[in-house]
Amino acid sequence: MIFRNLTFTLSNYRLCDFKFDWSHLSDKEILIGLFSNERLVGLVSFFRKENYNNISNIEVIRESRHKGVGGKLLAIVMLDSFHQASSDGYVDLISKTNGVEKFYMHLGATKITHQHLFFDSIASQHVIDKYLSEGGIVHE
Amino acid sequence: MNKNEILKKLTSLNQIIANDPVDSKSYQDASQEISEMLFDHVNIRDVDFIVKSLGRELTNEEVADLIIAGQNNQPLNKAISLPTEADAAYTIRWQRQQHHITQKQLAKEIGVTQGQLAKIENGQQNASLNLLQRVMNAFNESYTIKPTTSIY
Repeated sequence: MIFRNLTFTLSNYRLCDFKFDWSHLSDKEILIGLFSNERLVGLVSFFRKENYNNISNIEVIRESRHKGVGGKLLAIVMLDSFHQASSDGYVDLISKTNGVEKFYMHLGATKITHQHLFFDSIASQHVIDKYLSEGGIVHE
Repeated sequence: MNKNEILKKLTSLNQIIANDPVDSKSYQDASQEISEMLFDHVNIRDVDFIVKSLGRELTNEEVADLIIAGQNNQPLNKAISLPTEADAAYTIRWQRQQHHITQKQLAKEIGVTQGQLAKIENGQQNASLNLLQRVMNAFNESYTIKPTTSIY
């Protein structure tokens, strides 16, 4: 599987398998796509903040779910957080309390409130070790 | 914003997140705002420390208190009551940061290693009462031990 930075090139890809509207990114929002055999199977968007990364959206196409794609997308944002000067792997996100948050909790997230979660350095390293044990490179 | 305004805003954002579709612009904007409301004023590491010290998630009221304390550059343990050991650890770190002193400098002054001080500030090691006194003396500050103290 290959990661690509799609922040400025998303329009080059067909998104018929995706439910979310990914065409309107905010200023400074970064979009990473995960490709399997040249097919786009997942997207994650995030912001680099002063001392953490904030995940704004994450989606995996239906037929690629339960195959670790979501974990890899999460892990690439965590890896990016480790590469920032003051973020140390910290990542936060908002989740509906509809079962999806259980996936994040299972991966080691901590709840700030019932909708707001974060991963600390140790939890993020755990996710990276699990899903990107050989590292992750984002191709431009 | 005052506390009532913050609480009202948090409740409104919580409702949007609970009710609107994940891919809607309203959900995206609310998510962004709820994250920024807290972390624009309070360091994520401090929130990490507080949530883990308490061993539970925060109420909206507590989040509002933290935001206000952060806005006013006040110590967060004045806004939220922490367990005794965590309160002492946070106080040491807060005082050190307010005085712009590194862990290495303070550790030398109070006679511990930088590693020990780091563990104390992170809550991984309890601060003795004697050590706490040395820290507060170094900063010419006082510290009131809570009645439930188990600091030794």
